[in-house]
Amino acid sequence: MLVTTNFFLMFARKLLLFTFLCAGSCSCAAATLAEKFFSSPDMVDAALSPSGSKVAALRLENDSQRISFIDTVSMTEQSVFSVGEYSEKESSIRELVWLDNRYVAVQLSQLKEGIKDLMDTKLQKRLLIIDSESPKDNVLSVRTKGWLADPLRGEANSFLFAKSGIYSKLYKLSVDKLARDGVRLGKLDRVDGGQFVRSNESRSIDGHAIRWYLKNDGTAQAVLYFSREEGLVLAEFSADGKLQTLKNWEEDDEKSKKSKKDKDTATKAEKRFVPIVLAGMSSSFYCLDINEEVEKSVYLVNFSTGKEEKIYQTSSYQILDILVGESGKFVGVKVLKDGTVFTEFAEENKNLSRKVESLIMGSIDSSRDGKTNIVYAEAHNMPGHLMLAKDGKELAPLGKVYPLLPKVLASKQVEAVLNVEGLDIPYLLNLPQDTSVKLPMLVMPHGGPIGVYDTPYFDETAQFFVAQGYAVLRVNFRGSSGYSEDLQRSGEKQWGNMMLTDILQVTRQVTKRAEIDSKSVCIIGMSYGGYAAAELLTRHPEVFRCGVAMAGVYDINLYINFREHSDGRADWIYKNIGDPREDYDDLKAISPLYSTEKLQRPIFIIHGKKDTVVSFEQAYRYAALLSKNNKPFELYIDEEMTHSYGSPESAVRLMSKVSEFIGSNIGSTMP
Amino acid sequence: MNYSLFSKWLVLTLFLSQFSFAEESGLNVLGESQGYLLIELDVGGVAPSMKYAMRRSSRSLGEERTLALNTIDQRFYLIKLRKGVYQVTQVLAPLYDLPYRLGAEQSSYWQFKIEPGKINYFGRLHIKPERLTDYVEIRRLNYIAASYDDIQDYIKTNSIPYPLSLAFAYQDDYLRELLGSLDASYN
Repeated sequence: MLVTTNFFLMFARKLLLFTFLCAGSCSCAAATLAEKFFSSPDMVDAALSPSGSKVAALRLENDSQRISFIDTVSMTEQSVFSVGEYSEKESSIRELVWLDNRYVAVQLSQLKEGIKDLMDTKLQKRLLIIDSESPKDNVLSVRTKGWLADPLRGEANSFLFAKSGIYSKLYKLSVDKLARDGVRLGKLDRVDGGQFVRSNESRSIDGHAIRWYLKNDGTAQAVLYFSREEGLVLAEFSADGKLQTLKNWEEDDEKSKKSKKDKDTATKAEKRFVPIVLAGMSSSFYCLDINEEVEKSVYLVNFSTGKEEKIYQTSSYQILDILVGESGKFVGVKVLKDGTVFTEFAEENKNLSRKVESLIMGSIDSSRDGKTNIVYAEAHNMPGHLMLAKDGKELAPLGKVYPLLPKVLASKQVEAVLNVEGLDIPYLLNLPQDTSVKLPMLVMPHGGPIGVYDTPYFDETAQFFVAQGYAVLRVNFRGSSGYSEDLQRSGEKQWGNMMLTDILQVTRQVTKRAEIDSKSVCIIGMSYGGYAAAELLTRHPEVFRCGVAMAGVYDINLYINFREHSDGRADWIYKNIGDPREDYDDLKAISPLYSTEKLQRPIFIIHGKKDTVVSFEQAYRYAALLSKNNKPFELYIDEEMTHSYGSPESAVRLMSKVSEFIGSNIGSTMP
Repeated sequence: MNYSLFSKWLVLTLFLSQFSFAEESGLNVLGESQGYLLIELDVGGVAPSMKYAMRRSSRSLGEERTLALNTIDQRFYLIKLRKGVYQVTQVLAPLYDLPYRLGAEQSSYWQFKIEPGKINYFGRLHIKPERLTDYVEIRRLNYIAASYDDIQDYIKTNSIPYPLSLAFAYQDDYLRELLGSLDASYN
C-alpha cells in the first residue's frame, strides 16, 4: 500500500508548532539552566480570524492542550477549551482553523496503531466547532465520520467537509445546523441537521478519497483516491467536472517492472512522489518522496509533463507537511524535530526583516486584508517566538517556543568554511558574548549523517552550552545537506573516513583562534554524532579530552544487520554506509567497538531503552568492551529516552548529567 | 548401564526436569552433531507460536516444527537441535479477531544456525500485542550484550557445560571479541 502513516499525518496544514511530547511547565524562579532550555513550548499553534480581531491560540499547560482566544486590540486572553477536561481518551488537537470571524474548527485526533505490515495506523478524527462569541457552552460537532476539507473563509457560517467511502463526496455544511457536541438528539432531530444530502454536494467521485486538493475559492481541483479498478489514482477535474487521471501508481509500477525486465536492469530505489498540496499551476503539486529514507525534501512535480524539481530540503528529522501561500507559492514546511513540530521557512521567506544575522522571520497567518499578522521569529541567539504585528509593526508577544528563556541570549555566532581536500566544509562556531578568557570548546557533530545539516538558527543544545561558558563548534561535514549537492554526495561511504577528517580539520583550525583553549576540547554527539564522538576520541586523544556519545553507533555492522530492511532502504544503506556482506572488515575497522583498547580519554555513553533507530545493544556492547579493557567510561541507560532527547523531563535529566560530565573534564568559564 | 552411571543419569534427569527444555532435549548432554538453540523470550498475546524448519538448500526446507510459546513462562528456552542452518518460516501472533502471522520463509534475517556442541543464541523474540490499539510488534533482537549477564546466570544455574555462540545468519564478531578466543566460552 502506497499511502503511509506519515501521509495521514499530513492533513493539518496550518499548524505552526505541535508537541507530541508535552510535559508540565516548570517554575521560572526555580528553573535550572537545563529546564530553561529544554522545557515545553507554551504556545504550539496560533490562528488569526479573517478580520484580524482575534487569535485562537493553542497552548500547552500541565500536559494538556488548551485553546484560548486573544483579543488583538485589548490583548486580553480567555481560555475556552481544554483537551484534558473535554476528553478522557488520549486525544490531541491536530488543526485549528477559523471558518469565519465567529467559528473556529478544531480537528481532534486519536492515534490508533495498526498491526505492523498488515494494516495502516488508524487515525480517528472528530471535528469540533467552537463559537468564539459564546465559547464556554457552545461546542458543536460534526457527528458524521470525515474531515474538514476547506474552511471556506470567504463565506460565513459554512465549510467543506469530506466524507469517504466506496463513493466519496465533498459537502458544503452550515455551522448553525449542527448540534452541540455530546448532546443526545431528539427523535425528530437529524444527525448533523440532515445536511449530507445531494443538494449540499460540492464534488463526488467513484472511489475512496484520501485527499482533496482545493483552490482558494474552495472548488476542488484534484483528488487522490483509491479506485476499485485502478488502485491509487491522482485525478484532476476538468472545466466540465469530469475526472482526468494524472497519475496511476499501479499502472506505472507495472510499466516500470516490465521496462526493467526488458532491459534486465537492477532494481534501484526510485522516487515515489505523493502530492501534498496544489502548486498554483494546472497539474502541478508540491510533493514528498516517500521512498526517501525519511521525508526531508520537497519536490515541485507536474504530473502531466512528468517534470520534477527539488525545491527544498530540511535539516530536521522529517517533513510532515508543506505550507503554501494564497497564490500557491511555496512558503515552508512543517517538520518534526526532537519530537516537536516546527515550521521552517523557505530561504526567500526567511529574511523578510533581517535585523540580526541568520534570522528567520515570517508570517504564520494573516487577516484577509493582510494588515494583521502572526509572525514567527528565530535567530541563533533568539529563541523562536510568536508575535502579533499590524501594518508591519510588532505589537505584542503571543507565545514562546522556549518560555523560560529571555528574548535574546548573550551569544555570538561565526559562520565560515574550511577547504578540506578540495571541498569547502561549512561550520558554525557559537561563542558566549564575553570572550575575555580562553574558552573550553565542545565539538558537536550532527546526526544523520547523510542529508542532515546544522542550521545557523537557534539550536537549544548549542546555546545551552554557550550559556555555560563553552564555545560550541558545529561542522557541516561532507554528507551534510543544505549547502550543495557536491557536499552531500561526497559523503557516500565516508562514515569513518572523510566525514571524520572534516570534523577533525575544522576543529584543529578553530582551536587556533585566540578565544579557544585548545587543551580543553570535548566532543559530543547523538546518533552518527555519537559514533563520531567515540571514534574521534579514540583516534585523537591529542585533540579531544573527553567525549559524550548519545544514542551512538559503535558497531556499524550490527547497526545495519540489526533489523530487516526493505529493498529500497537496503540499497540506500549499502550505497551510503556499506554492505556488511562484502565490507564487513572495513566497517569493523571503523567501528569504535573494536578499538576500545586504544581509547585514552573518558567517554560518557548514553542510550535510551526506547530507541528504535539505534538499539541500546550498541551501548551495552561498547560498555562491555571498554570495561574489559579497563578504560574510563560512564554508562547511562535511560528507560524513557528514544532516539532523541525525549520528553522535556527526559531532556533536562539527560543534559544535566552531560553538563556535569563535561564540567568535570574540561570545566567551564562560568559557575 | 551400571548403577553409578544410572544414578548420575537419574539425578541429572530429575534436576533438569525443573528447567524449561524442549521436549526433545531431555538431557543437557549434547550428541556429537547437536547444539542448543537458546531463545530469549519476550512474548505476549493469546497463543503465539513460531514455526521453523532445517534449511536443506537455498530452495528447500525440511520438516516444519512448531514451537508453542504460550506454554513457556521462562525468559530463556533451550531446544536441542541437529547442527545446520534453520529457517523460521512463520511467527504466529493471533490477536483475538485478527489472526496475525509474520511470514519469514524468504527472510535471511529469520535464519539461524546451530553449531554442534554450543549454546547458539537466537536473540530475543519480541512479540508485543496491544489489544486496545490492535497492534502487534514482532522482532528478533540481537541483545547478546544487553542480556549477557542474565544468559550467564541461566547457563551457570543450569550447569550447561557448553560455550556460547551466536546463531544469527550474519557475521557478528562481538562475542569473540568479548571472550577473547576463537572458541567463545561462557567461562
